[in-house]
Amino acid sequence: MNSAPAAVPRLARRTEAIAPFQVMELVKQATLLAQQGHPIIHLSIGEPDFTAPPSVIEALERAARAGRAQYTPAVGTPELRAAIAEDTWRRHGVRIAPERVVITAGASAPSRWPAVPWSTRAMKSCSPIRPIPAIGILWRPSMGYRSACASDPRAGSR
Amino acid sequence: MTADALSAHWTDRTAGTLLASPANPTGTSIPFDELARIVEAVRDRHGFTLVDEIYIGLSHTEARVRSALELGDDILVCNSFSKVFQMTGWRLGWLVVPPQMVPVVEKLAQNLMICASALAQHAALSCFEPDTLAIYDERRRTLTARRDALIPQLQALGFGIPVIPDGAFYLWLDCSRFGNSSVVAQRLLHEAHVSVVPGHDFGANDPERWLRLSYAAPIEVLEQAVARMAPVLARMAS
Repeated sequence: MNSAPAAVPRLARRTEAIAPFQVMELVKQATLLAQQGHPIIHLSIGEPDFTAPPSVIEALERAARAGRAQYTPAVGTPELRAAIAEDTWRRHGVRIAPERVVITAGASAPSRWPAVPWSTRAMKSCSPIRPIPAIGILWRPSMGYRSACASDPRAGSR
Repeated sequence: MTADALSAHWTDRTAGTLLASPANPTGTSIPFDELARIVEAVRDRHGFTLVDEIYIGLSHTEARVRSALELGDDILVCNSFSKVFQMTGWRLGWLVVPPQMVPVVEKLAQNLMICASALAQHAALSCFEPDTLAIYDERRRTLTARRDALIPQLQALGFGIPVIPDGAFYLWLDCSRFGNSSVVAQRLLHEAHVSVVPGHDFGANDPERWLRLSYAAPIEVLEQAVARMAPVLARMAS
């Protein structure tokens, strides 16, 4: 079957306003060159060259073998929330209630959730969300978030 | 980033501010006193402050690093297992939110995520064992040593490094001597086989002047990269 790809319903115009994440684009190019046999040195991505230490890998293996792969509470396991609160005390000398700790899938997208409760009114009225000042330089996903929410990417920036 | 800059850009439609300290791509932190002033300025305007602290555990200091959480339980902080605990693809992080916001964020989590990976959560507990923490601390010092070795070599190549980063594993390089950052990054990739990122991912502030280099690579690899970049940059220098 070599038929033309089926058309998809027209996409919202705001999808065009989402800028690509250039790091990922560049990494794609670098990967392609590497596949062609070029010895690429990757100094582009925000990823440590270290990986999780053996004790963490072993803990993962134990959890997997014990079948502990069921859903957890949405806010995370009580044990991990408590461990993070304790680590915050050890590292920074600040006591936080474990109940304030919400475990998330990475930090890129979830770190922008808290802005949602403060932007719903504007989103409902289909007007741009209230601009979040972007002063100086910031990490790309913050900008992607702003463009995806149809806020003016230049609002408050310089 | 200063409280004055924030105040100058705040409008009556501004809801809050997102900050990162230490920041990506500069690796620099907002001095704690200034952070406190920013938080006060935002409070005066009835806004929210969310501080991204995912690199705070990779600070190039042996002293205790102060967290924005110290400034009150109205501050939101996000953090991650990706960088400090070196578990990028595991996709595990956390938010610290004001007590009265927990139910709202819980609803968002239920709807947008169900939950973070259960296996990753169970395994992550072992990150906080003393022996594992010692490994992480040793790795943090390794990053500091790389930073210290690399900065003079990059300066010798002709890159400008106006501020010495105090955290993370990035250098924000002024490449204006060699041309537009997109062109410099392309030529370094194709002629030196070294991959660095032009500034465009990081905002509208002179992106064509800056490159981000991540030194999350062994020191001998970093030195090899310097050696490969040297002739390409020499051809481009003006």
